[in-house]
Amino acid sequence: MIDGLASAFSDLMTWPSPLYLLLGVAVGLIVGVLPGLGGGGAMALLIPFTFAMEPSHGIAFLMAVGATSGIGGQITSILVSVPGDPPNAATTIDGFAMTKKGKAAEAMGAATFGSIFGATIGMVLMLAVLPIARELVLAFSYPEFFMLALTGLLLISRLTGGSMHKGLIAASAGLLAAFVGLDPVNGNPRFTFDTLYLWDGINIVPVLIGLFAGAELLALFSFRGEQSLAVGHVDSAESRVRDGFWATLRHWRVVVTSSLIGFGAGLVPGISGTLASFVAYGQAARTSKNPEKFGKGAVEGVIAPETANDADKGGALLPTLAFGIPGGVIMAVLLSGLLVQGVPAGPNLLRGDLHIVYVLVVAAFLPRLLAAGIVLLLGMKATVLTRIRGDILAPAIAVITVLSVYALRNEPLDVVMLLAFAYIGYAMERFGFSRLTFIIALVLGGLFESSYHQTMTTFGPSGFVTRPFAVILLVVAALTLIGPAVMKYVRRKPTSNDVEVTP
Amino acid sequence: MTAETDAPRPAVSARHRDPHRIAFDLIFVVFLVTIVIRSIDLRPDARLVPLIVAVPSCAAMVARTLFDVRGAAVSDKDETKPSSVEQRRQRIFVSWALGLVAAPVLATEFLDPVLGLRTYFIPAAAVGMLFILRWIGLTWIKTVAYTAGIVAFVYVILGVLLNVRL
Repeated sequence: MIDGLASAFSDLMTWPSPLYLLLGVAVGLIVGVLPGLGGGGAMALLIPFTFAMEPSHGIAFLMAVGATSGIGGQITSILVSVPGDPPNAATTIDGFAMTKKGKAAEAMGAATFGSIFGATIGMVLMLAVLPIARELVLAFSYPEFFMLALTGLLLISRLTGGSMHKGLIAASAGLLAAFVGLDPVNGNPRFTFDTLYLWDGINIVPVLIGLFAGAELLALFSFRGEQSLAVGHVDSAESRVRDGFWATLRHWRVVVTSSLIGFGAGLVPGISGTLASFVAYGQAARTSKNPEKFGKGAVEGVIAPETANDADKGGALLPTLAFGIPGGVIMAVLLSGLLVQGVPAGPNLLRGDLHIVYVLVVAAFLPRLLAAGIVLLLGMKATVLTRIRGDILAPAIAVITVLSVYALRNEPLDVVMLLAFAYIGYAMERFGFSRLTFIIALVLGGLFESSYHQTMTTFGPSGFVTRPFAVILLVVAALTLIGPAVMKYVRRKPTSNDVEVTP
Repeated sequence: MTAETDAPRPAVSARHRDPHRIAFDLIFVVFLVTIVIRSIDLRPDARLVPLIVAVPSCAAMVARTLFDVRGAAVSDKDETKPSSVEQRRQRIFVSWALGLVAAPVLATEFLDPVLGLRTYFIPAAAVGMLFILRWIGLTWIKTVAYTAGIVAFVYVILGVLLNVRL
């Protein structure tokens, strides 16, 4: 394995590979910074450019774009609360809160080092698990997917926001929004209101950006006005970046847990990095000594999603290479890139020459280091954004966001959707409905419904309660739903009213 | 009855009914009811999961709406209404954003292409930025410079580098 990795490294260091890697990093960072146009979309646009390249060069180039878009996306997530890439959405919550306290550089440092550690752990785990990949991935089938989605939704409903009641309503609304489009059983249009636009379902990108950016931009323009974002004392960027680095080391448990969550989520096809980052965020909040600081600028709230988001890529590479089943959008586009280059992914790839596998691993890791270095050197300059007047910054971001969302599919109705969800996000934030829960439910809705039907068809109702992983997840779901109420009842101490006082 | 029980509770001013909150609740209810009604016409396997989710959610949301219509007791310190200046800025920004989105969408839909433009997003962005930057009180020179910078940035990245149809 070491020889294989060394050979791949040497291949990628031979001219003109470094040039392609650098180009990939630059493109990945730029599309990551632009809201809406994620790594997957950019990779798809760039596949034609790889036709003329050597297979290893072309694949390394695509991988560099996909691997670094998340790092680019963290810049806008932290500085202006606009997620550059969907998996960066969870970072906006505490990252932007830190920016408002004048700690943008610390948040950027924490996010960048979290990304590096997450990517490292994800890739190491991927290489460790590669020999037993088949058994591991096959342990998960439709009942486990369904239970995973159900448990994830219940956990998120409980962990985000104060009211479980409102959390469940937000989750239901997200699920129902996900059911819009063609139904997974018959393929007939459902809840489309006779418009062709909704046949493909609700596109997540405008919804995500509208929900998270709308309320923040309105507040930035109206409440801050001539003020800049950073109201607190802003220390020198270098010292703050160091603080971010030390915070990542101090919260090593968050790094390890989030990496495992990210890697595990990546392993399961269909579970995206967006879900991994939100689950990692929820887990960090639940296990923190100071959970009340989450949402108000807790550095763990930045470390957890960014670490999980990058560890996810390691996990997602596994089913892509082992079975030819993409773990997410980026991996789906990468798979297309592999096919275009005449490299058949799947069991045959692992049985044959593993050189291309090691090239992919190194190509997924090296650009991240490079991108992290660029972000730490140049991204800090971007903190100047936080000193621009709010009423100049907000319209500028709005224009860039609107045009980027339009650019994604050349679809004007995406922009209308963005605006509608900007209002919904504003109202949800104001009236205490969790936006996170809504978006997670929207992401999981398809998996939730299709895995339910597939379980019923393949295993029957007993499938939910006879497979070990499914049962474990079912127990976790039940505990999440009724556990706190039961614990409250059990722990109820006798009060003075319960004590009979005799005169 | 003691004097203590007769005294008004100082922290709570009155039951507060927020029309915006109720309107948002009603939007939620309408959405859920619409899903339930439209599910009825679907095939049984296509409506099963949506109905399992929508029916209890509908009941929960109606209960939440009734709770909000009844009004919640709030203390004076909970009242954090934006000032009139902030409200005015909010209205302007929302109207501006509506215009920024609606104008190019409608123009692209109903107008013939002019000046080689295939959509009207770039002109709408330019006009929108000019208006809003002037409205906040920037000088004409700064307004034009900032607008040109932002529009050029977007055009170069999207239109030139990524070859997006703008």
